This record gives sequence, structure tokens and C-alpha cells, in this order.
Amino acid sequence: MHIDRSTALQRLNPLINLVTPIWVVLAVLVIVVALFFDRFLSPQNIVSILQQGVITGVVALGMTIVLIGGQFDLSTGAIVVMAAVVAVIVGPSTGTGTFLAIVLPILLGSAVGAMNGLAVFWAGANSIVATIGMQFLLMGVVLASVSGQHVRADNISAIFTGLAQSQFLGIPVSVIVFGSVALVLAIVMNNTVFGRHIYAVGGNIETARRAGIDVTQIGVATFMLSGALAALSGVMIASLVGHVSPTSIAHYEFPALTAVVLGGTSLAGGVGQPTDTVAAILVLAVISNVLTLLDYQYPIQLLVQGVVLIVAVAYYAWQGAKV
Amino acid sequence: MATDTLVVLKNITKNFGGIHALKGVDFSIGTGEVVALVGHNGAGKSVLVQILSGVFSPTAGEISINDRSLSFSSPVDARRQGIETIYQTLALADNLDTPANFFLGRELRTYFGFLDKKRMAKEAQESIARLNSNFVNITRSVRQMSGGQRQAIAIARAIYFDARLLIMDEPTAALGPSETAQVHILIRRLRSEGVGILLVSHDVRDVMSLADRIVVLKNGEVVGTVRPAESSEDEVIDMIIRGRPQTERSVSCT
Repeated sequence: MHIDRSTALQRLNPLINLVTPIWVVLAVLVIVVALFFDRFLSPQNIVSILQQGVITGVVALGMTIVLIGGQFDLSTGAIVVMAAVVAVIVGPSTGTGTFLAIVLPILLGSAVGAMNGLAVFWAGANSIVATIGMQFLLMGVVLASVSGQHVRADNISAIFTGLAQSQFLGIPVSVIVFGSVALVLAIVMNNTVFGRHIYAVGGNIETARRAGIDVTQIGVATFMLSGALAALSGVMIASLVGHVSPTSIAHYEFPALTAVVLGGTSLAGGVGQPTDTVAAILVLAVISNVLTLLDYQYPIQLLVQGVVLIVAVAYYAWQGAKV
Repeated sequence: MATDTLVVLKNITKNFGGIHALKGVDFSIGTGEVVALVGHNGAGKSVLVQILSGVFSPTAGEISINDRSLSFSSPVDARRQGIETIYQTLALADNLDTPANFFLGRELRTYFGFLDKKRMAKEAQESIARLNSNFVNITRSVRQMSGGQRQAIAIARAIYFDARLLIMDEPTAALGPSETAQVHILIRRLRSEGVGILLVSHDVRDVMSLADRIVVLKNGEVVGTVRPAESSEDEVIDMIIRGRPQTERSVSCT
């Protein structure tokens, strides 16, 4: 029987595209670790791994979109802090307060994103410099407004604490939120005109412009998305702990960037998948979990994270050179 | 086979601050006519192409298509009028596959508003295959394709979207001899189908064999227009270098 090999391969193509290197790494890692640690696959440990990555994961998903669009967003750490502080200050004790404590920080996050986007795509500023500038500006405003003090809310409503602390069918709601955001972004990036245009802008901005794409509109939207998701992370932190020390929750942007790069999103733009960022977040969470199980302290965890990042960057550079 | 006048440019001027990129350029292109635009780097060819394709707006002057005066504020406006542009290096995004490039900015959608990937792949495959039967695998990354295959995608796209005027910016600059010959065949075919073609090229030999008229630009001005049948390569090169017509046969600013 004659088999048309190219047709068979084309049919398999979507499946092959789904199995990216980071998912293979995650699968191998889970199998190897499970062989050595009985406790690893226990429900509590799996829930703990999932929960561990959620806050950074939501920030990383937004950053993935900005990076696919060819830019960096390093203001996300400060947006997380701002959102957490605003959520606590608003005081999610009543129904209205809870609504505002969730919605207001997210709106503020997207407004900051819009300013970043306009600075980069309208004024032509370098995104690294512009978003670091925004980071300083936001941290300054937040610290000044709370006089650098710890902020705490009284009588937090059950709905607000439930955002990060409750479970649905044994799965933490925060994990469901993370999974839903990842799923929606995967659909948007792969199946909508908006997603296609983000890839085009990140791949070759001039080609995109000449194809009639409004690159400013697309670029600003990616930053707004990133700002909104960073703010959502901040709201989840406020929900998780109920009080915020602005200085202690800073710098989420670098772990998030680590996950984005580990997931194969190109620093040059135009390449990446939200689902691969999810896999990278899980890889980092599993590594961190294993090191905890082995009783290694935070400095060793940082060291391992650094090695993983460098190996990943070297691998993707080698892959890129092969094309 | 030039017939009716398709596009007329009158007194097109473009200034970038104190730099006068184009100074009152006049010329026209007919349906089924190949007009070549030649000149040194900095002569104003690219600026003129970008004005016609809607990337820049002219500082002054008028563009009319089929006797209707128009102004373009974006490439979308130009494409709505049937003006398709094939850029030498900017035609395709390397990170996207063939159907995505083919429909970039004009994506087909399903009833629910999602990308209709199946239909886009089918239409792109069929359009390109009509042009180049050797082009079999549209799932291959555009980055891995030869210059000829990339040009085939860009040209097939222009035909698919019913180009009335096709602007080709150095279409053969990155191609080998056999691929260049293929592009020449395509240009002649499009001309016979009534498409007006504006060919921008450094290669005088190329344009002598393809164009019905050659417009020579220097320092943002049209220095003359010649018909290849009544002229020679040397004459055109002389006009490009010296910036003025050499003989009586040159027709000024048709």
C-alpha cells in the first residue's frame, strides 16, 4: 500500500507542533523525580507545585505576549506591587469593596500598560529602558503613598480570600484562574486575527506595517494585557496574604522573564506560545519543589534556576542557528 | 499592450524636513503597461513607491486612478484601490508560514470570527500552485524558502487580491538566473492580463527587456522618459548618470 508520507506528516503536524521541547523536559523531569521521591506525586505535593507557580505564571503569560510582539515589559514587578497595595487599601470587606478590590487594580494595571505601549510604539522609546523607568516611577508612587509601611485590610470578605485560597473540585481557584488565562491566551494567539498580528509585529514590524496592520494599536494592546495580568497577580497576592509589604513582594519580573525564555519565547520577538510558558513555569516549580524535598536552601535554588536559564538560552540559540 | 491610463501622478512632491525627496514628479501608467522606474540610490524611487503604496502621503501633488483623484493615508487605502506592492526585502514575515503571509492584514475568518486557517491554506496553496507548479509545501517555514519561492508567494498574493497596479521593487535583485527568468515570464503574463506594472530596478538590461517605458529619476526629479524600442542601454545609463536626456528621442515626463 502506498502511503503519501508528506500528507501523513502534514496531518501529524499540529500534534508535532504541540510537543515542544519544554513539554518534553517537563515530562522527563516529572518521570525521573517521581521515580526517586514517593511523595512527589501525592495530591498535596502536586497542588503545592501548581500553586507555587501561579503568581509568577500569570505575570509570565502577559510578558510572553509582549515578548512575542517584539518588546520587553520590565515594569510588571512594580505593577504587581501597586495592584496588591491598591486591593488591600480599597478594603475588600463588603461586596462592592471586593468588586473594586479586584477590578480597580486590573484597570490601573492596563492603564500603566497603555502608557508603556504608547511610550514604545507611539513615541519610539526602547522598551527595556521605558519599562524600567515605569518600574521606578510606580514603586516611587506606591512607597510614597503608603509611606513605605506595611498595609493591611480588616474584615476581608470570603470571596476575596477565596480567589487565591479556596478550591474547586480539589483544585485551587488560583490554579484554575492561571489555567483559564493560559487557555484563553493560547486561543487568542493561535486562532484570532489579533494574535496573528502580534506575531507579525514581533516578527517584522515594517512588513506588518506595510501589510496595513496598525502596529501601534497592536503594540499598546500587548502592554495593556501584560499590565492587566501583572495586576491580577497582585490581586491574588493580596487575596492570599491579606496584607502587603511593598518592598518584600517586588521583582516578580525576573522570575517571570526566566519562565518566558525557558518556554522558548524568542527575545527577538515573533516566536513563542503561552502554553510553553505554562510548561516552563511548571518545570521551574518542579525543580524548586525537588530542591525543597532535598532540603536545599534558597541560594542553591537560585543557582539552579540560573543554570537552567543559561542552558535554555544556549539551547534555543543553537536551535535558531540551525534554521 | 498599453491601453487606457490607469494611474496618473501630477506634481508629486515629498519633503522630509529640509530634505526634498521628490520635486514635482509627473508620470502615468496605463492598463497592461510595464513602466520601469530607474535611478541611482537616493534618486527618489523608494519614496515614490511608498507614496503610491500608501506608506507616505505626498507633501503636495495629486494621485488619480481611472480619472478619480485619491489620497492614501495607509497601505490599506492603496490596496483598496487595487494597488499591490511587492517589496524586495519586506514582502514576507519570516516567522509566519505561507498562508499567514499570504493573507497578512486581510485574514479570512470563520463565522465565529476566528482565523479560517483551513480555507486560507487551501486558497494560498491553489493560488501559488497556479503560478509555480513546483511549489508544493506551504507548511514550510518562509525562512527556509528560496528567493524565487518568496517572490512567488508575494506575486500570487497580488494576483489573488485582483491587483490593478502591481508595484515591484527590485523583484529580481535576490534571484538566480532561472528564478529571474520565471519572474520575467510572470510580469509578461500579468501585462497581457491588463495589470499595470511599475517596475523599480537597478538592472537596466532587465528593464530594457521588460518595460514599455522607462522613467529616469535623479535627485527627486524625472529627467526623462524613454521607450526601450527607440533607445539603448547606454542612453538610459547616461541619463541616470548625467541627469538629462541625451537624444531627441527622449520623451519628457509622459
